Amino acid sequence: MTHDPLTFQILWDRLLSLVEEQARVLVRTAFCSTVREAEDLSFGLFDRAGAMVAQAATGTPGHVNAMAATVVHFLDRFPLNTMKPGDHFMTNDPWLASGHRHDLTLVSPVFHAGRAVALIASTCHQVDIGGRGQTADATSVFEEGFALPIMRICTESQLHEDIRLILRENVRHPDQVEGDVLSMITAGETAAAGLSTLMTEFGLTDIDALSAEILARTEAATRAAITKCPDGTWSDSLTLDGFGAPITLHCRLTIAGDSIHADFEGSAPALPRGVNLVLNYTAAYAAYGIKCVVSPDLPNNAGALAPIRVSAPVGSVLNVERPAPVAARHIIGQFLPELVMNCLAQAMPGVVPADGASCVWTAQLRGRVEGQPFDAVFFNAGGTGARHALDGLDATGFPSGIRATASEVVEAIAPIVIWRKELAMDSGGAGHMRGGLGQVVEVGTRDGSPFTVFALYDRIDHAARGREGGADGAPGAAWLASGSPLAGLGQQEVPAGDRLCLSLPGGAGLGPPESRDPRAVARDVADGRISADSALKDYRVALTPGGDVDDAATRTLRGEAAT
Amino acid sequence: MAQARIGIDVGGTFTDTYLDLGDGHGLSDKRLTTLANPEEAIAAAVTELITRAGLTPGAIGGIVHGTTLATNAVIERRGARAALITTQGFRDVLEMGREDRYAHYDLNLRKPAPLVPRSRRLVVAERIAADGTVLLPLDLAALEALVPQLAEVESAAICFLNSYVNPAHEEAARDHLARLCPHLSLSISSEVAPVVREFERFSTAAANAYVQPLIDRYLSRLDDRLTAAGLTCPRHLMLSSGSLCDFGTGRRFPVRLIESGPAGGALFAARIAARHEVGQAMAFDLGGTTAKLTLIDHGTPHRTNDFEAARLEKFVKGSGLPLKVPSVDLLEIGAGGGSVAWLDQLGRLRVGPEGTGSTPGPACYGRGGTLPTVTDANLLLGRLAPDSFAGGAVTLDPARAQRALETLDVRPASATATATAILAAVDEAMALAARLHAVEMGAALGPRTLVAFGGGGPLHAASLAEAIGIASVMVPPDAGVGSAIGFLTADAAFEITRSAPMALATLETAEVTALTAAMEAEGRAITGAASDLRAEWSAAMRYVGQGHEVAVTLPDPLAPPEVLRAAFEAAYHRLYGRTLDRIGVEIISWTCRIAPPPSAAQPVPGPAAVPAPAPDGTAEVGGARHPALPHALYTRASLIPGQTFPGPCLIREAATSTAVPPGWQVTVLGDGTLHLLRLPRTLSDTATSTATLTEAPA
Repeated sequence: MTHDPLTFQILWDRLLSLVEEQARVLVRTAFCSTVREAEDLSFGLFDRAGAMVAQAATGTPGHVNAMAATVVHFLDRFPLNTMKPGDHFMTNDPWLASGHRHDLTLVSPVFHAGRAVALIASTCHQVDIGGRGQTADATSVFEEGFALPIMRICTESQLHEDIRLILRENVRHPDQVEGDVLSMITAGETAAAGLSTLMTEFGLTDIDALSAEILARTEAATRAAITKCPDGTWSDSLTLDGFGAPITLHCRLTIAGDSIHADFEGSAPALPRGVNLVLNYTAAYAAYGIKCVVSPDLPNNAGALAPIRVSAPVGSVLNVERPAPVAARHIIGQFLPELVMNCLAQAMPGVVPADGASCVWTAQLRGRVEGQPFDAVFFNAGGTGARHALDGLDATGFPSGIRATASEVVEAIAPIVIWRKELAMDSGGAGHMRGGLGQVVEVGTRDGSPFTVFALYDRIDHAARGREGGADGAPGAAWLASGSPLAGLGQQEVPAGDRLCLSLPGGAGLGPPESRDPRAVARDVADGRISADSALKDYRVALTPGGDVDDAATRTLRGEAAT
Repeated sequence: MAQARIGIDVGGTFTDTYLDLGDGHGLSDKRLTTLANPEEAIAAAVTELITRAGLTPGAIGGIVHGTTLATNAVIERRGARAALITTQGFRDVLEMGREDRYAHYDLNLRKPAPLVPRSRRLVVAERIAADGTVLLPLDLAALEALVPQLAEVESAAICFLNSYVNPAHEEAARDHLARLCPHLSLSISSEVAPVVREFERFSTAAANAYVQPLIDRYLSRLDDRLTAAGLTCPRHLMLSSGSLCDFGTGRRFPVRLIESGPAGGALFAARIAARHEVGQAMAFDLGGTTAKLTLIDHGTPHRTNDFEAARLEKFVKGSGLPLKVPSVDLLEIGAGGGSVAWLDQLGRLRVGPEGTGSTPGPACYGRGGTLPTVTDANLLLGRLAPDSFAGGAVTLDPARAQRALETLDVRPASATATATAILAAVDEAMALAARLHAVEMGAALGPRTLVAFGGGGPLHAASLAEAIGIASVMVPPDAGVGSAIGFLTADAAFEITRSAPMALATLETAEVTALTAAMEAEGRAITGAASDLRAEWSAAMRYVGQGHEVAVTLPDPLAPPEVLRAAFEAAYHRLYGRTLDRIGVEIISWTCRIAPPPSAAQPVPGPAAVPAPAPDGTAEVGGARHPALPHALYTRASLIPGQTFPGPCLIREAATSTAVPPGWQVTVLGDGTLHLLRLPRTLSDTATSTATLTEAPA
């Protein structure tokens, strides 16, 4: 069945709207702060073959594109013709889904007129899934919490009691996890009912032709966008702090006609601790970086991903095998967009920003106050890299799409006090365009009880690199308020009466700082984004005692002829 | 005899004034806003209307005023030089926000600049914990040290962490600064918006401080000007929530005036629905750049406590400044007469949100615009008369419209087919937004009556109704000055929301009694002690552990916990289709609205049937879902109540036209409202039956 162009367009919009609606419902009904405050979730509609047709504009790239590769595994285990109305299936298998056990992925069949016509999937990040917690310390995946192979968890819309009990028994906060699972089931059922209603309204018996057309159109448009890029092969590498010793990632990116291949051959081998990536997750972040440069305005579905191939050697940190530990895989994964974009920057000058903080610094804390155990998680973002015509964004997540949780909400949930959370002066790399500022965070328990921090931080030894003459961003740091430094990765103790301090990396600058508009420099000094010292030394701008630009002195400093 | 009253709506472009004579009749005036001194246009309009009515100023019993001046000051950044005083360690809350990006793939994303720049965000040592305990006392010496910096500003917001639980430090700082810096306007976050989440609360308080001096001076001048004109009657301001307040309250909480103009439109539609005993309705206003929709149940527009002002990217959630103020829940869509049609990268026809504005305007205005717009499409399909558009203010040129539409590379390459597709696309954009909104609100759209007003509302209403699956449309008279009329139907009410988390399992009756008594007293202090005022209660509730709440109406806030739980679960089930048996329920915030009892609208009697009118003529007119067909033409002014006639037809008046598609019929109701009803035989003919349309290039 083919649709006239306008009906086709309406149906496509309605499918997008359907997944968007239920993603929002999921945020509103979720229990875990990761979902309800940070919006660390994804939601999509899949065709009968498991290809992603429509996706809500939420979440982190790691979920979003990884989910696209997940549903086929559910169909392998439970063929569509064995599914019944009211069935729901779930897994948190890192290799089949989004790379660590904290992400629960639910798949629900959509029935219309007695036939399974499509599938709905959602992924939600849980604050706790048992095991060691979301830390890099595990030496195998077996230490990383509750494992749920792909299973039918609901029959006739009822969560199986045995699943419910075993799930509750394995996690630290059973009400949160159970509440989220129920919310995911409800959202899946509502979306499925919505699709069936839509099909009735438009007299459809299936969505096969519609899906095929959506995917074909998107794929064609993506290929057309790639064709506009120059052909060739470009390479870049990136060195990160790693776990105890630096690691280097390599990317070789080839644009050939209408397709792109990102190959991570030569990247570091798997690490003994939980920062490794499964290929699904590597592919997800690499594809995100490519899409930002090549086709940012096209919808995200299986058609958009088809022209992009990602490979990494088996056994490398970017493609580990079972049972490697993977819980904190995001701290490397979030650098992959930067790595592929730095390859694309060579192909397409003037488009790609300088490096940024890239990795979200999660404050993941556990302790006990007045006899009550607590787990607290809040996200903090550093600065993004300077753009060609704009400064970097201060304290803003990229590539992660998650939101920071309000300090007041964090403090209302857990017995902790956030004493400081504000921008850090001089942390943005100097440049014609300045890097975004990082931030400083200071946190302790309400009554000074000791607590544990699960550090997940990078860019302490390796700052964001400046581009085209711009300076590097400030590196990050983690320390105790009493003075001792902390390691960037791993479980560490904060003694009684002490506090955890974090200084998040700034974004790098772009272009020579001495070409920056002196008035912009004066404004930055007035706002305390840069010091007068930096204005003088890095930007070669002299200011009057009132804070205005001293034009004559600035010209001299910059070696420009007087006019 | 009922007294005459005046409603005044000052927008960025027009000042609309309506004199309600109190006998069911009224006079209206529309003139350009005098932006530098808006009171000039108001005084001129009011004086003229009183003269036209043959009244004296002393005969006017009341004035209600609403305005977008506060909104425009925020959008155009014309507010005060303001400071923000905050907890040490939290200088950048306004700027850091939620540390996210509203567009996931945009490398060149910009964020809205905060209303108070970093250089004027000042910190003092103090700290209150999440449970209200003082962790660090307020450092008054540090506060005094700020005085030199505060000498250079005219307004300041005081925003401390966790002040929604314990406002003591904010109040102490305010009292201290009021003595030290008597020139300052002071806003404190615990009074402007006492709700959890520091970014949203600080943002609201900062906006209040930002517009306060401007609004204060304006209201003072207006007050004097009205008095000088002999108008000594009570004056009220329209709040964004659709309630009224006196000038003093408006000067204290100017951020609450921010959407007052559009709120008037929603009230106008609500009153029309109530008069015709329509339980479920939806207000629909379509102007030059924007369409606005508001759900109305039993004569009351839906309200919200979340509003976003001055969005950087049109209609993109997250690109503006969040304001936690009670507001009529307006769904704004970037679809108006001037919205531009374009093809996206996938060859799909899109309309808006980019618009041409009034200059250069749609191509057919002949003022230099060349981009194809919705107005151009309407003109080419014969839905607008070239000579009498907007009361003859502009002469429209179909040849220019045709050239503009031909620039779109769609097939078949016919300007009229493209025009049809543009109208269908704009309907769909609005229908989609309406559906998404309805899902979020747990509301149904199908059984509603669309109440249309604004320049383009009546022209698009029936077509939009078809796209949504609505079968009833009302077009009231005087729709051009609807907001000003709506103001006169508002209640003098005030709403207070306070965060006070309490789990039902451990609810302390004494605590609830004390809280509700304090809130009610605070509300009554603002509304005054009129004896007919009563407190209406609602609460934001959720399952323990969730992060978002559901608004629940509470018949009695002191009811036992099981009654409160049942009320919550009914609301939750309506929204999300499931309740969670094993999980506790908590109340996060309480809302008290002090309001008079709802005044029953005077129902309009159904008129006796009279013979149908004879049309003025016929014309070929096309639409989103039908090809060009002969339409009967009527002049609205010559229609009389009780007449019923079928579509397709066009009903023309000075400010707008009402399009009635085939399959609909019109009845003129007792008050002159046009009631369009879709005839049953075509009800199965849903939104999908698009006529032969265009094909995008492969």
